[in-house]
Amino acid sequence: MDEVLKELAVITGQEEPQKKVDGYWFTATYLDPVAMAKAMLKNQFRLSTASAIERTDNETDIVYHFVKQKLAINIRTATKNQKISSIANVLPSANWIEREIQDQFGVTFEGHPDPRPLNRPKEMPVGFFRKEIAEKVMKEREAK
Amino acid sequence: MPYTIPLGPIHPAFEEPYKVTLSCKGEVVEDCQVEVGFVMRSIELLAQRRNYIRDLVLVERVCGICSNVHASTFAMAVEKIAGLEVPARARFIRTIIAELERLHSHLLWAGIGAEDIGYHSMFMEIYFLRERVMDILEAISGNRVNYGMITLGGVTRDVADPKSILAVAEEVQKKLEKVVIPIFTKDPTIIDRTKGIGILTKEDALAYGTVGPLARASGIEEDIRESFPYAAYADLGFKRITLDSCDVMARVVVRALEMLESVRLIEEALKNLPAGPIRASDVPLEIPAGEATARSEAPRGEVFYYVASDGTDTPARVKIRTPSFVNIPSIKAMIKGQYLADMPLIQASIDPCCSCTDR
Repeated sequence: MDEVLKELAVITGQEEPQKKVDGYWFTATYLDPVAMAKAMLKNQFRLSTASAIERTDNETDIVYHFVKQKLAINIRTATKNQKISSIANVLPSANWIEREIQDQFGVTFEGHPDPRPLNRPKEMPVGFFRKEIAEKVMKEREAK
Repeated sequence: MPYTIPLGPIHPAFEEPYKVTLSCKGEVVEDCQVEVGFVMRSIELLAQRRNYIRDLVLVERVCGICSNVHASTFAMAVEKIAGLEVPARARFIRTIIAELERLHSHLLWAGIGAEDIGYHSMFMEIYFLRERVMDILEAISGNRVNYGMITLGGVTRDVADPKSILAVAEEVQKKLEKVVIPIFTKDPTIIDRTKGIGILTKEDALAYGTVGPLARASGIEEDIRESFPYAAYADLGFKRITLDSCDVMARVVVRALEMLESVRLIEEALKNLPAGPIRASDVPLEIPAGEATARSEAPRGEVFYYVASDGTDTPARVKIRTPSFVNIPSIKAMIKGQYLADMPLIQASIDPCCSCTDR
């Protein structure tokens, strides 16, 4: 268990993770998602999901939620110019998760093996979960 | 020359729409493409426009079968942010409702599975039994689909008459032991249709991140009720059911045995129901700023919620990850080299829920 935390400390550049009621939280300003995914796969962690959270500077926070038995690890990072490396080639479980974030928040996952839309309705623009776009769509619909 | 067959969106095995495009060589399936998104409702986005109390009502409508678990997991995440303590009686009632929900969901699945196998009399038997469980749920909550039992810091209704529920639980247990489990484990028709079909290896199960009975049938020893105990599972004790034969048969047996464990948990919780209030008295409408994740074991596996609050009465972000969202992609690993005629049963064995997946 400690070995994973040490490995992640190197990958995320944060030495001491925050310990909360729902597990460990790492925050990385610079993160190599592929290295993180490989380390977690090697240690037999399961990717629960990744949450995308809109930031005020037109970027998106991505929080990867990993779990193994009683240990939960959350790793937070942010996109750069709305881009981040895909981990779907290492972890097939990330495939749909990344496609969904791409639909909802307009994040490009570089190197994704199958970047088709997942569940975005055809009439919705890419990134329709972002506040600005959601409000615009809603106003257009009200006008109709 | 391989050819393709579309299965769905109006599906031969389910009520819900999703599409599997199979590429076959003769009768043998070689690969598939899975498509979802036919019933997308953007519940996450809607939840960010309503206050926490209205959100409880909204998230309960993510799924029509495991409705309660969504409300309770959302409540757990909010309770973590606000530091709310749930009274003991409320924790026990939450456990009773969660296990009744698992029981009716597994019975519904068993009925559909029996019908897919072609065992119609079994389908009738199981649905009759399921109706008894629905009766208990109706007696407790007044509802059959969305129970409206969960509120922040507790539950909305008390369990008034534990004795009558215990009697029905006993009846369900007898029928499970005498009819459902022997047929699913010993009947030659069922064994012929399920044994060695739709193999999902342990490595694949982990790589696809599968959860719930599907993962436990592939030898992954994980149950959220055990690894992150919530409600009253730590008080009641809990026996995890894991098999390692990785086929449809294993998934059938895991669910069948889980039903017995659910009955035991319901009985135990009813017998040891503590006295006291059913909800915390000082629940604020505005939740302090912060973020939290919550997990619970729905009938189909781990439900995951991430909630972020900005200090107002409306959540800043609600992320919902349902078990079917990670279980459905694993179809790709299961169907390779299988016969076309087994496709409905293999897909039914993961118990997919498209309403959950699309949200």
